[in-house]
Amino acid sequence: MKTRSLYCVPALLFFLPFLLFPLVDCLGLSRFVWDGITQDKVFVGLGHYRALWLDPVMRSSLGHNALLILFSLLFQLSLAFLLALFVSKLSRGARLMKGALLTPLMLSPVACGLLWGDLLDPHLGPIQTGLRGLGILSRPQGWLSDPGWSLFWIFIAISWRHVGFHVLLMLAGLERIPRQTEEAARVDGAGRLGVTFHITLPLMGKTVALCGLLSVVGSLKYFDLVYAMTRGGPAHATELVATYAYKLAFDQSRMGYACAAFSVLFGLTFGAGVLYRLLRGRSG
Amino acid sequence: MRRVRFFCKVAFCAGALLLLLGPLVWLLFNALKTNAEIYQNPWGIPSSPSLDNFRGVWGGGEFGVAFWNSLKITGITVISTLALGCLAGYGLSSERSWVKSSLISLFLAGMMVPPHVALVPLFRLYHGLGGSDTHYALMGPYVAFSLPLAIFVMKRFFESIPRDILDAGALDGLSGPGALRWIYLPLSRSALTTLGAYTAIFSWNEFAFALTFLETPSLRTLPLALMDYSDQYGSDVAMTCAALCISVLPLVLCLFLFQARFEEALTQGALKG
Repeated sequence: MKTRSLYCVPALLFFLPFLLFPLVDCLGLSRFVWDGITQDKVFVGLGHYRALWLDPVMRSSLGHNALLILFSLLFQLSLAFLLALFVSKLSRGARLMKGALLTPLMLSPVACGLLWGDLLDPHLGPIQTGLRGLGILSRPQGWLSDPGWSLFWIFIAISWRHVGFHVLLMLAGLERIPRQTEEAARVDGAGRLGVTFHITLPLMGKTVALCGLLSVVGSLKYFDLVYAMTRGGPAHATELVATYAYKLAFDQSRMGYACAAFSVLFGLTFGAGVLYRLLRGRSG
Repeated sequence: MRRVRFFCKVAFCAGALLLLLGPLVWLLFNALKTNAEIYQNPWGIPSSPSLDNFRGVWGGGEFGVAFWNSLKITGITVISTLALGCLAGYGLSSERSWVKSSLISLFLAGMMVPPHVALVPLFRLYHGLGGSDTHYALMGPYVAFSLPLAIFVMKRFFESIPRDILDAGALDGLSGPGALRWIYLPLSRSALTTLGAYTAIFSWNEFAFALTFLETPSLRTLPLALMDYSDQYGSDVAMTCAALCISVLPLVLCLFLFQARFEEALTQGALKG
């Protein structure tokens, strides 16, 4: 049965040239200065990584990624947990709720970014006209061109698209908790909140960790939604590592430098994945 | 007390539904209005709904073409991913050997690579060999980046098939390719549709590769066409909304029809990975 590994050959014919080779090439190219057109490349070793470390835009991009991750973990996951608890207790309408929660995920990130751009439009968007109607806002605000607000609204758009996905995962986690455990706690006199915090939440540890990992990896990979909504602007206020690296490569033709930034992205994603696997492996 | 609790539940449901679906309903309403009406009444129900915006967008031609391009690329990607994933999943299932475990680690590592990493190297590769600005330039990486998950889902699924069934097949003379075709495949329809849905969502929505490698307007995929459309006619809100509606419709319709499958696809995709 040694030959059975041969069944992997067709998959490898795609995996090697379109995934593994690009990864290795990206790491390799990051050591050169290259404009993407000519043949001549200048070797700079790890110089690009040093330059990235000192690059103020790269630093703020990393900061924005970190902020998105932090917000996702704090707000999106707690909201998802509450929604999951709520939906799991519904006797009727659970299917409808799940469907509604998943609908935003069906939009492509580009469509989602453009939609939120329209929703936030200062003159036509329902959010601002509504707030003005209620007297909360006095005049039109260019939120997406305001460096203080734009990242916040990007986070809102991202949460709108993804919260349902986390609810779905947590619902699957909730289903795996045996009914008896919660009932036993109830019999022992635990209140509603007590059961939630001392029984349900600890037993959901794995699911929450998975959702956390997916948020972290997802936040690192954001590109399309931000590109469609703000292009990383105004003045890099919503720049993420992925959008910055893309601009370096295809707007400024600094391919080697861009590869270094993409490699950093890879390192972070890969690190998060490995860390998660180690933690999960230890807890069994 | 019961009444109050029931009322709270309904109110919470309604609020959540409004927040989740409201933006999409607003989008549909705007697509059915004229620009003048949007300016006057950005919130309300269209007074005389008309499909003119949809006709305008579709009649422009680019959108129809982009729609079929996306459909074609998604179709080929899904079929190739499923076929290759099945073969490799079968190859890696059951018995262990050092070749298999190293292949498993390789694919596992592949799952943790962000697709953007491949942009510059593939750009270089395509410019060296030719092949940029074709649909193949997209399908290659789409399949490659969908494969690791497909392989693991199929591998686990095949390993969950009871030994007895395989033994019975072996008695009847089925092994290797025969067993894969007549025993494994017929049993795995649910796993295949689940994976198919997952892969379809990914390739239908993918943007970065399409943006980088496609230049000819007639080759553009839907997200790309949408982006260009909003860059060009962004001030025409009614038309942009109609364009968004068209791009959103297929997957939302699929979700509506196959909700259970989609739920399974998303949970399984995350849990098995």
